[in-house]
Amino acid sequence: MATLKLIDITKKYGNVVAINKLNLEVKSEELLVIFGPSGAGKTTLLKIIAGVEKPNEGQIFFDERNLNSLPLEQRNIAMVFENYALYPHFTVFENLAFPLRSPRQVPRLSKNEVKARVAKIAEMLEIQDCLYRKPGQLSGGQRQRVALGRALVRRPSLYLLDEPIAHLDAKLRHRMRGELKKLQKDMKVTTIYATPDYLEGLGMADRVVFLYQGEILQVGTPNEIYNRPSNVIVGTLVGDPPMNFFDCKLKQIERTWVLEILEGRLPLPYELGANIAKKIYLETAGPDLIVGIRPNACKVENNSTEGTFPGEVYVSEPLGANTILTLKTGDAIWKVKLEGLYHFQVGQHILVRIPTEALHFFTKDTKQRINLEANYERS
Amino acid sequence: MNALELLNVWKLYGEVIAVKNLSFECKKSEFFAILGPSGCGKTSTLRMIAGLEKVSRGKILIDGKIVNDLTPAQRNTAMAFENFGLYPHMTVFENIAYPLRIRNFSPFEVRQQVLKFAKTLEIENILTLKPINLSEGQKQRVSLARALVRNPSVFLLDEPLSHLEVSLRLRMRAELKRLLHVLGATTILVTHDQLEALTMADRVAVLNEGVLQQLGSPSDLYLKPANLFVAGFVGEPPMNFFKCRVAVREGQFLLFGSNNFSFSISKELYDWLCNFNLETYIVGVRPNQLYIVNDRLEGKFKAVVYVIEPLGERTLISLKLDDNLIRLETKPYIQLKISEEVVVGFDEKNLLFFNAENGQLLLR
Amino acid sequence: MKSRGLGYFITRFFLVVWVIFALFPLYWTLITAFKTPIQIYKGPFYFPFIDFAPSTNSWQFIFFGDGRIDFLRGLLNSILYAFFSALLSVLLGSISAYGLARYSYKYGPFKNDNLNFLIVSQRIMPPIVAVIALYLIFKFLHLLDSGFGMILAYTWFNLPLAVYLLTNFFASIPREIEYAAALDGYSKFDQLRKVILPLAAPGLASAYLLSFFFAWNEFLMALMLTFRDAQTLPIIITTIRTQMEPKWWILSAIAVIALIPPSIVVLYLDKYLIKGTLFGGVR
Repeated sequence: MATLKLIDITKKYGNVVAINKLNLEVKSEELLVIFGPSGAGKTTLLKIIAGVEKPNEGQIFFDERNLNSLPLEQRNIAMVFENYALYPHFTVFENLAFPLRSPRQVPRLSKNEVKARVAKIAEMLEIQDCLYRKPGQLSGGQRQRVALGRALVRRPSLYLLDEPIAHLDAKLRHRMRGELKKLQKDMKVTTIYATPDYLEGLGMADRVVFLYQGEILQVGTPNEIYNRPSNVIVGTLVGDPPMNFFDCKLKQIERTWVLEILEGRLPLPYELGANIAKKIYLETAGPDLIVGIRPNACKVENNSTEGTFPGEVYVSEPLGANTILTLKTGDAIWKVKLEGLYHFQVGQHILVRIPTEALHFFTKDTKQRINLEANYERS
Repeated sequence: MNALELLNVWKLYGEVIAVKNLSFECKKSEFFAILGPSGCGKTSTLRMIAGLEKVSRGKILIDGKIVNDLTPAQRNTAMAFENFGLYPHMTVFENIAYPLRIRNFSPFEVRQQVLKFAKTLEIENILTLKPINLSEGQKQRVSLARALVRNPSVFLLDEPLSHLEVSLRLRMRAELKRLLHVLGATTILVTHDQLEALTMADRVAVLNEGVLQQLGSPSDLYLKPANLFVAGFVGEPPMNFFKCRVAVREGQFLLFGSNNFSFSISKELYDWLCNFNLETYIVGVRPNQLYIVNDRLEGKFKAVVYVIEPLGERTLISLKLDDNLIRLETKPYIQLKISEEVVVGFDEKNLLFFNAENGQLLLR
Repeated sequence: MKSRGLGYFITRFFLVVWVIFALFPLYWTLITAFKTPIQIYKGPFYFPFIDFAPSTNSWQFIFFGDGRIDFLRGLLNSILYAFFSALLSVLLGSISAYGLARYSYKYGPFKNDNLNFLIVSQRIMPPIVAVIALYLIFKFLHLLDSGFGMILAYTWFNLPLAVYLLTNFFASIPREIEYAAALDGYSKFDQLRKVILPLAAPGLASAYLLSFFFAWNEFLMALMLTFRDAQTLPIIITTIRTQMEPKWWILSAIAVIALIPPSIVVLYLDKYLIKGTLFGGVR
């Protein structure tokens, strides 16, 4: 049972607070993704767990053992560093075999076993042709794979992977995402994976931890993070294109709750409106709120009906099987993702429907999600 | 008159052929992308257009004039570099103003132009800083501003967005596209990111190992890729490929890959394929053109679930069939387990057929 | 094919001239070692077998003749002192250097950079200033004219340079590589042995080379701190003279021999001086 517990971890570099009183529990055998933009503190967090950096405050418990004073060699953790840290004087083969030959490797492996394991990992990562070259002779993508291989060739209690596939070309990255997820499930080793790429975050994770400027904004399953972002920042950074956010006002006009949005009005179902109103008036005593909607939830309409809004095509980006339109309505610039290839002209005026079921609501000042009763949430 | 024309251009580095007999034209105000994996010759091509490399063979024409022997300064081109190339001892304002100052614009015009571009690229607040104090994204934008400020005949962009952070990259991509459209600038973009090329360009040239693979609009590249390379390179997630033969069994026309992978096809398709008289074909189908069916009769083949990746608005399922990995894209509301067997269906119309020997697309 | 311009030939011409100019002293010394006194004074003769008949006069003198004892003793002493003092400098120096590169020290107001400066600044001082004090210390410790003393003296003098060079080398090894080795399960000692020292090989080799050369060519300390048994080759050379002037032919022979041990060291260490050992390890 390898559970990792982080309690009140704080890390400062001079006056800059990199990690701020972070608490986290990682379940045994889970693939936890630490997702966040660059500078969020992901690498720092991984380094603290590995023992490479010491936290200013806080404790780390691994399987109930306090790790704070345990030296690196004894932690039984494998890590892929952001800058690879390969052994430049060893060949690729030796780099991959090095962990298997260490004194901590118990039981000792025979030469053939080492060779076999290295060959297996090399094949999975498609670096079997480079085995007898040195890192200096490899491309960036190949080096990254060697770094990944060096961690995977062992079977530690914990994997720490810091953006392990960031520098591979798109095709290989896609394949590795699936392969790594499968491998983790097969090996049943607790894994912490840091990435700024939301596709990796959602696709691979059992749970996602959203880290932003040293603080955790949300922890949840990929589903929860995507469908119920707790915060405007989470909504923006998870999803491509990012969620659209609009400053709106909620008003009641003749017993109907109406959202003043995009220089127009969107009527809401009565109960939904009442619910939101209760929450925001309670907390903020004002009609202002932020409404979010994902670009792929909107649809283009031909007729102007209730719930449709006009937009001027600002940019049209065809995307293979989809089209992303950037629209301008008044001062607001927002995006709509449509299935199929459309050829709209810049400057063309179109109508877009905004379905009320797809709306996410956030308070204006704290930017936190307004949670509604169960019947109004998407599953 | 075309803004840019390449006629039978070759580039050799000693014995190594970096660019092989490349020809294309680019009309005025067109957004043209050169797309390919690293090492395909795209940067060499761009550098030849800019004048930073000599053309080994062939001609380059800008606005109808042969420019092979002109220095970069004499061609009316501007370039934004992958690693920015900003003047470290000048402020951001001065960096952007420099191309104008050396062309003797009046100080008032210089200021006006610089501020205009700074506003568009959201860098007005850093105009007094020096490059060493800027973030990567900011340096990128300054580099773009400096290139744009001169309104040159041809804009050359070398992977301009690759260093930006993901969210900024998406915004900048749309912004860049719009800006260049509004300015009517003729732009050549070089990139390895097919998404970037497809969303921004009017036409794309796909290069691999120095050879032009296909030249066409983004939808041409996506819907009618000329060969296996383009088919596998364009589109995310990448296309699935299967090796097959045609066969007739018990009166049914089949496409036969292996015992586990064979499905019936229509007579029209069979007849059409027989025209080519080939032993094997390579069949390509995109992940979003495959779907999981409940009814066995509707489906085409069976496979086992290998990995499930929920990606928010869609779910990517990798299936295993005979040592091959097949990727399938579906809507998110699907419940499947690993190692579960599923039946996969597709529409025959969506299949693309390639000649297994030379990789070329067989046109229907 | 581009036609080669005049510039090409002029450049090549000057290069050839310079090479001849630079190598001439070496050549001259070599042939002088094969001349008799008369050939030297009658000279100058430039080409053996053409201008003059080479003789093995000097060589016989230093290897088999009267000069044998002094010469061989001087040669042996020089080799021993240079070899061991360089080794000690590098060994002791790498210990300090690793510490200074990786750990933060604070002794009162002195931090790493200050300690570094303190160590390196010892080399700024001209040896002559220290030699007199060293003489008195050696006399007290009965270390005058002893091999042990000379090795100590040379080590003491080379240590600052070794530390300075090696600190930079150790600092240039990315820390993450050490962390990676630690996480792979290797103790600090094993990390040093298998990862750090191999990567620092160029630094260790250069530090050794420089220390060796210094000790090999050193004159002043050898002069002051030895009188008979512990004399080095440079000292021996100065004793080979007639009443009026040095015996050039013998001197040249000794000089040629004196080139050999350092050349051997360079040839051996050359492979460790490969540049770019660190390349490829990190992004």
